[in-house]
Amino acid sequence: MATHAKKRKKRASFGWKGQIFLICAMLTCIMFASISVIMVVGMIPTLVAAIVDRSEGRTRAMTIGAMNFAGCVPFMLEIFKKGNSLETSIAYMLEPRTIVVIYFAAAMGYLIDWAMTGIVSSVLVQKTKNRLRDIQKDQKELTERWGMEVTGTIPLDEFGFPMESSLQKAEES
Amino acid sequence: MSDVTVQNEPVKQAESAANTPAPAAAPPPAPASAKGMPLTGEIVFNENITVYSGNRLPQYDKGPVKAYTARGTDKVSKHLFAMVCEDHLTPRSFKAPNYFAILNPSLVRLVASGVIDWTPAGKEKYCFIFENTLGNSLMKDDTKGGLGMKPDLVLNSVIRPMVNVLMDMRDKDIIHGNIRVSNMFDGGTRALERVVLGECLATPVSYLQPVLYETIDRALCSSIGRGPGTQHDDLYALGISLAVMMRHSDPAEGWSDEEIIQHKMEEGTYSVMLGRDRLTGAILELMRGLLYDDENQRWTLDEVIIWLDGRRLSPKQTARRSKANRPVTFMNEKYIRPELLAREIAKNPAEARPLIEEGELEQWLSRALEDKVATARFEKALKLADEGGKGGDFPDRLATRTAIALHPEGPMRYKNINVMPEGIGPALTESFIMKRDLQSYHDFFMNYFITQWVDSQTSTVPDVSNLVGRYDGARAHLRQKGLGGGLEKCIYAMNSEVHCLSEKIAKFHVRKPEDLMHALEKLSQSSSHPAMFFDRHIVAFLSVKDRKNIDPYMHDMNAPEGYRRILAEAKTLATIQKRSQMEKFPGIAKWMIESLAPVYERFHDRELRADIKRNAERLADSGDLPKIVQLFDDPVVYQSDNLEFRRSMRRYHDLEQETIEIEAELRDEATLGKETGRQAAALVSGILAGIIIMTAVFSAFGKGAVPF
Repeated sequence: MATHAKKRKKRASFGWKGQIFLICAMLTCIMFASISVIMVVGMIPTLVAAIVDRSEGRTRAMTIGAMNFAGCVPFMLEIFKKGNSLETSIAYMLEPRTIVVIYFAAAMGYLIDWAMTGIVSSVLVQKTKNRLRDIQKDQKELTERWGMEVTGTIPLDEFGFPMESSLQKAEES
Repeated sequence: MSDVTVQNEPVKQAESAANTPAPAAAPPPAPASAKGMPLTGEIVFNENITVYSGNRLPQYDKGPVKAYTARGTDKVSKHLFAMVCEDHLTPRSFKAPNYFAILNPSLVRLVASGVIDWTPAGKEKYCFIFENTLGNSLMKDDTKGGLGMKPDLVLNSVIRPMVNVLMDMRDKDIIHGNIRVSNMFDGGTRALERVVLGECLATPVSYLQPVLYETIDRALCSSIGRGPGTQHDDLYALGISLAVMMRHSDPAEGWSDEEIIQHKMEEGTYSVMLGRDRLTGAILELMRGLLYDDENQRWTLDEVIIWLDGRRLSPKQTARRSKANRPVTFMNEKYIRPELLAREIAKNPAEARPLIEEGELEQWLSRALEDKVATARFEKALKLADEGGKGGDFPDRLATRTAIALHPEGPMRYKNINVMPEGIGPALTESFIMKRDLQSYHDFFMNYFITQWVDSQTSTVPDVSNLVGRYDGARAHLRQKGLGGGLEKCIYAMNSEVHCLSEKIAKFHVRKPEDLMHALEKLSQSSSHPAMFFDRHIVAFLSVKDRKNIDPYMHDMNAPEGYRRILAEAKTLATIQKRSQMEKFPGIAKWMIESLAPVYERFHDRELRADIKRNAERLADSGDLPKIVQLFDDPVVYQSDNLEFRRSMRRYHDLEQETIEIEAELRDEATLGKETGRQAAALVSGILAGIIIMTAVFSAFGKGAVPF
């Protein structure tokens, strides 16, 4: 319980590095306010995914986030080229095309996550099953060559040979 | 005694077997014998001698050992006879080469000796082939009456030839042990010119000698346990024979053996033999010299030769046996001689106990016999008897030790055993074959009477350390319960001439390790041969005959694991074949391979097992036992097999662990690989996003930038 509380406390407080990073980010946001608007509105799917994602390392949020960010970048470049003003930024955001493009990119990220997870998972399951079959085959070969003694399930004497009673039991079974 | 069994039939059966004519199956046309009787039951011996089992020569029989007509071919004499020995009476085969070297017309000539396949008994037997120059026996029953021969005739026809024979025998280190009138023959001549002495090899020394012909001490023994004897005994027997030949009347007529011994003690042998006959002249001197009861006084062969040369010897002082001045009563009989009392005490141990323990005997020894040495011996005997405690067989031990103290020159008498120390081997052998009580022999060795007997002797015992050492060895063998020990080993250690008494090779007469190999080779041809080669007898026999052949493997021979015993047997057989540089034995090799199944199983690797088995089977026809054994004798093969097995066990274990892990993963198949898939998706997505971003940057800031 104490460890759990400590973790929570750690998550709540950023520490001095986090605080410096937060100050720098805020300063950057103020300096590039127009681009920040695109980022804030455009990256909403990533934010949602990050909240919903329970996978270890939040890999799904990263997949969606990468594609989501790639969808935002062309518009951010356009705004930057057009003077980096807040009005331009808002105008872009009000255009449905911008939102559709950015969110479509985020959807592509989700699609990639779904497809890749499915493909890799089924490949791995198949591979594991094949390995299990190989193991059984190897074990059978070992038993054929070295006898039941090799399994370690029979009490053996000091020279590695089954004690007579145990061998009889094994043969009966 | 563990798994000892009796191989040979008792005497009656043996005799009946010996008397049974050979089966009539396919005998070749029988040649006619000298008397016109057809010869039947042809058995070939040594290629150039044929023994006819259907033609007995009862006049040459030696007790249970029967004589048969034999014929030689090529350079071998045509007139022969065979003595076919009985297993329970160990033949003196070791003396055969020495006997063979004696060429004396007054001794029956040995032509050949060895093992014969005796078809009437369906087994091999040992036989001696002699030249038949014997003629008729001088006397059929030589224990009664006399021949009344003139001393001059006896001197020329008997004494001179017999002395020559005894000289030859002394040179060849042979004690005859069978000198008596019924074993002397006329050589086929009407007028007795020169007697021919019969054989002495077919039975143990003195076995067939009547009590009359034995010295007092040896006469008290059982006939089988008299031991090898000395030439003094032969000279005594010659003296008795001469007395029987020359006397006209028999003073001992109607006496039992015990009475003869008693009278010899009381009156002396000379009086017993020639009481009513008056010999005069030189012959009297000889007879007195030969019939001295005291061995130290008795004439030696050299003294007889001096006498023959005409020189006269000064008479010796006769030492009388000690006699008490008043008798002691035992079982309602009065005894004044300790020797006779010793005999009765040994026969009745329970009745003797009060006499001994209540001090009556000690009092008699010290006061009536007045023999301080005998009293001291008796006191020591009491102490020795007490050492084993007063329970169990104490009366028997007490009686034995008392008897030794009273009559130290006499035999050792314990329960049914009555032997001179050297005679224990043949006696034990006979008892074993005749299925008599063997426990008494066990106790006899364990009670260790020999040291008391040796210490009690008034004269020097020849080769005493060897004698005591052999008894020590017997005790050690009895303490060893496994193979290579026990009473079986005592038989072979105490009777070096005995053949192997194993039931497995009951049909063969195996006298050497090499004979054993041939017997096993023949046995291997039989479909019903036993699974194992050896039993307690064969192991004990081999260990005594040549310990280097088997003793290195004795530990394995006694191992509880069957494979170790099988391998030890195989190694022993291979060692015999190699050390004796013998021919190949394909039969034994095949038998060995059949029995090797548990040895193959000592390899973990089944493929290696199959390989070795294939190689062994390939070598079977070669009959090369050392090569077969070599397949199983390489420690490197065992080590590498064991190492590989341990590695495989580890690998199997690792695979087992992996299986458990995989099965655990597969139990939650839905989530298996999801995480990896997501990571792959993140990677793909990152790369794709990077490409899009780079494209957008180049489009925005490159030449000919296109507005989005």
